Amino acid sequence: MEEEELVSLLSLVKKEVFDSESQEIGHLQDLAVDLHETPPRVTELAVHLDWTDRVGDVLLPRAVEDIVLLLPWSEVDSWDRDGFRLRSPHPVFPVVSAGGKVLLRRDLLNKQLLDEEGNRLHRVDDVLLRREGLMLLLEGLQVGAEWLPLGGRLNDLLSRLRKRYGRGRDEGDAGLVPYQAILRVDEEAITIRSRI
Amino acid sequence: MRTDGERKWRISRRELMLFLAVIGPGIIVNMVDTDAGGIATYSVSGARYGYDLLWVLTITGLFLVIIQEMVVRLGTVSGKGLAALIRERFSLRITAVIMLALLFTNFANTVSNFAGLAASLQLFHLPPVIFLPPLAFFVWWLVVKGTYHRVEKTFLVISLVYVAYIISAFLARPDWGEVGKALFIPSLKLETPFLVLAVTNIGTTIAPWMLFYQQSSIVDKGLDAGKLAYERADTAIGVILAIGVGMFIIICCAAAFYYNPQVGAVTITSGEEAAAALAPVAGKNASYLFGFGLLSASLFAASILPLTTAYTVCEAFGWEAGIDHPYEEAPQFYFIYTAFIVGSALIVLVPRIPLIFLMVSSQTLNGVLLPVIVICMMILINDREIMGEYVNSRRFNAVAWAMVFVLVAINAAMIISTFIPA
Repeated sequence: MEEEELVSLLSLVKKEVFDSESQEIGHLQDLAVDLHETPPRVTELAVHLDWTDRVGDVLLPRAVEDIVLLLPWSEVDSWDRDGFRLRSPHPVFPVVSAGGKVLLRRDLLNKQLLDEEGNRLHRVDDVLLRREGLMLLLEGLQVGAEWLPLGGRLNDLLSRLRKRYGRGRDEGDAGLVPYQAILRVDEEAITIRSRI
Repeated sequence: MRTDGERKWRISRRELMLFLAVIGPGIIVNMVDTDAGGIATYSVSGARYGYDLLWVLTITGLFLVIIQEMVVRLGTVSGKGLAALIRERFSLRITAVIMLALLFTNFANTVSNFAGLAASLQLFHLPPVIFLPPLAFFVWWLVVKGTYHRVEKTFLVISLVYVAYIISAFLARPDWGEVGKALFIPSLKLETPFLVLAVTNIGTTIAPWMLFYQQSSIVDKGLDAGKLAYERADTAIGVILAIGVGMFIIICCAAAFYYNPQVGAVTITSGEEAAAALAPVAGKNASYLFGFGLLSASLFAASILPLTTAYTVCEAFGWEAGIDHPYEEAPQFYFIYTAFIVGSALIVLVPRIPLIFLMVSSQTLNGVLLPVIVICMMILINDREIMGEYVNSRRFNAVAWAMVFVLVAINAAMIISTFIPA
């Protein structure tokens, strides 16, 4: 993979995760971002572990199967098309609480997009991330899969958002809502700036 | 002194008012289900096998209650439509495949209802070429120019026309003792047409679009978990009415044809044939009432099916929807709604378009789609993140999964039966 490129969340979900001894331990379930940073950076990864007998420092009375744990991004040693490799051996990973985190798949993907007047615009079809070295940064929300039409009003809004926040990319960004346009992420919907 | 039992069943004025405010989605969805296709199936069942298939509708009613109770719970607790829940819980791809199948089956169903409308117009000697376009426009106008509450009230009033079938059944003078027995004592004939009809009775009564429509209506009305009991009652009344109407159609055709010594078992293929054939054996009034019921039912379904399709597709893809929004705010919604009505009316008016192929393939696709959607529903309703304490109990799950198993088997049989020559 190139050092800086756009990556889709859907292409990362379900990728295999390996521990420091190259043993496959599960798959990627989700990614957490800090929306207060500019640009928002992926800070944790949610890994669906096939099994574990400890959560952080806590040793469990017996091993459990199919458990999802949130690990800090600093745990990632490297990642590419084949999966994610961690720095620690299974199952000794530092674990982070999911409380208050924005998870891309859980909280953004497939969610309803609203404008500032509360009108429904579209659902989020994918989340685009930008790779910078080992880091992953939130680029924006993808709307309109290739075979799905966009409404005229949404097209206008996207074009205005591109003018305001665009980084001079080509027409490939036609269906992209830049992260700067995200106003609020609620449980039910995501509100984006429309009064621009 | 009043006992506890009496107190429990006493309904206060406030509760009654609340129930009247909530009433609507359950009754409308079940009454619309008795559309041209349903009327045809019930007519054929009665004319060909007498009361022998009545027990199948008793079982269908039980299935409907189980499925729709889950729809009511999903809608009131999550505050979201079924399409939205499927999209958020599963994926864009799965949602898109379901929506594509739903678009096709609902379109074919709308065409079938416009065909029923055209046929019933002919019963009253009104040429469809002249009368169908204004009726299609009326259906379109009713929804596009109305508010949700006005449309719902209109639909509730239209539901009253189904009384026509009850009167028709009485005019045909059935043996009510035999009817009572047939409702609860299963009668099984091991012959292909009987089994195909039994399966078709269940298949046509439980359709995928109903689940989407009912849940969207519940959400649109803003009904929450606090109104669960009222919405359950609304649904139960709707199921009893719809199954009751279906049974009266079977009883009417059974008494007029199958048990009439001058006629005997006859092969009828549609509702309009049944209405026309009723005149010499049960009188002109029975025939006209039956035809009027078919006309109203087709008109009713021809309006609701495009509406529910537009709502469902927009909800799945996140587009603005609803008759309270102007065209500029919800273009996709109005496009789907209008295209369904105009397209269906045109297909029916253009001669030599093979309607049968469209109907059969839509029935097959419905058969594949229903178990998929019910399984999605089962996963959703058992998801504690969505339903909290309102997830299915273990016992309810056992009954519901058994029903899913039977539905899968029935729909597989229905698909196979479409390839068996009559």
